[in-house]
Amino acid sequence: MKFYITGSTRGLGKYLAEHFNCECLDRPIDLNMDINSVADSIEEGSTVILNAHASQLEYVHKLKDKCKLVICGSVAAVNTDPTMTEYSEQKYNLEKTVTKLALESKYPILYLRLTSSSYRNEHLIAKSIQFWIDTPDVTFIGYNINE
Amino acid sequence: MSEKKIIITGHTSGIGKAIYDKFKEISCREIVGMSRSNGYDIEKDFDKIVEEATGAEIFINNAYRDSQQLKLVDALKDKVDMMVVMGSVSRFYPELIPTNYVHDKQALAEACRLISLNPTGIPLLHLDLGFIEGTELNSNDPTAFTSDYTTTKEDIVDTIIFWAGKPSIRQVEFRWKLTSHVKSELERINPNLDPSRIQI
Repeated sequence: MKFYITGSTRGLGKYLAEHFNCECLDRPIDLNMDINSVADSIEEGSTVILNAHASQLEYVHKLKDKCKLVICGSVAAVNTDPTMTEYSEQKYNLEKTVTKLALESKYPILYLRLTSSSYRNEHLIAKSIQFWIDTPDVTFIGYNINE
Repeated sequence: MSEKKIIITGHTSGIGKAIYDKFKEISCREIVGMSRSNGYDIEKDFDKIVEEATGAEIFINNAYRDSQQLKLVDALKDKVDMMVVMGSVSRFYPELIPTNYVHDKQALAEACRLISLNPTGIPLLHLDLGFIEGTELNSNDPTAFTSDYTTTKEDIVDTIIFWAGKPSIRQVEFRWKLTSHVKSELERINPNLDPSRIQI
C-alpha cells in the first residue's frame, strides 16, 4: 500500500514518514496554493496522512472519495487554547467535519485527537495508525491530555 | 478486594460475552464475569460489585441499565487500575434518537472525558461503539433498532487488547454508518425527525 504524508520535515511527521515509507508532500510544494495539483498527484486507494495543518480540511474534501485518510487533529479542538483561538477554531471545524464524514466516506478515515504529549510519542501514534489499518471501522482515537 | 483480576459486567451475551471469552482464552489473569444470571445485577447488587471489583486490574464497564454504568464509573474511578467503558456513538445524535439511552450515554461520555482531564486519573478507555454484529434487539423497547452495517465483535475486542498495552489512548470511536436502512429505522422511532438531517 502506498503512503503519502504532509508535514514530514520534523517531529511526528518525520517519524511517520520513515515508519510508513511515505512519499513526502513538502516544500517546494505549497500545500495552501497547490491543493488541486497535490490531490491529483495522489494514487487512488493509497493512504494519506494529513499531518501538516495547512489546508487540512480542503485536502479532506478533495481526497475523501479517493483514498484512505489519517487526519492529525488536536485536543485544542475541544480545549480551546486562549492564546491560539484561531488555531483552536480551525481544529474544531476540522474535527466536527471529519468525524461526520468518517461515517459515510467511501474510504476509511481516521481522526487522531492529539495532545502535546501524545504528539511527542511517535511510536504510539504509528501503532495507532497501524491498528486502524487492520481495524478500519475505527474512526477516531483520542489521547490522554496528561500522559 | 480482588487483585490482578479482569472483571466484565454483562458477560453472558453480545459484546460482553465476546470480550469475556477472548480474555479467558488469552489472559493469564483471573477473568470474572458479573451478570444478573450469576448474582451481579448492576442495580440491585451495586455495592457488592463495587466491593468485589475494588483492586481489579481492568474493570470492563459493559452492562447498560439507565444510569448504573455512570454510577459504576464514579464508584470505581479511584479503585481499579484501569477501566474500559462501553459507550455509544449514538450519543452524537440526540436529535435523531431522542431516547433515555442516548442521554445516558452522553452523560457517561462526559464523565469519562473529565476523568481523562484529571492528571491523577486512572487510564480509562471510552469506546463509542456503533452497531455490533449479532446484537439482539430488545423487543420490549420500541426505540431499539438495527443497522445493515455492523462492526465485528472481534474488532472491538482487538481494540481493548490494543489499548491495554497503550493506556494513554482514552477514546476510540467506531463507524456508525447512516444507511438507507438506518434512515428508515430512525423515521420509525422518531416521527419528528428533520429529513434534511439524515440525507444519505
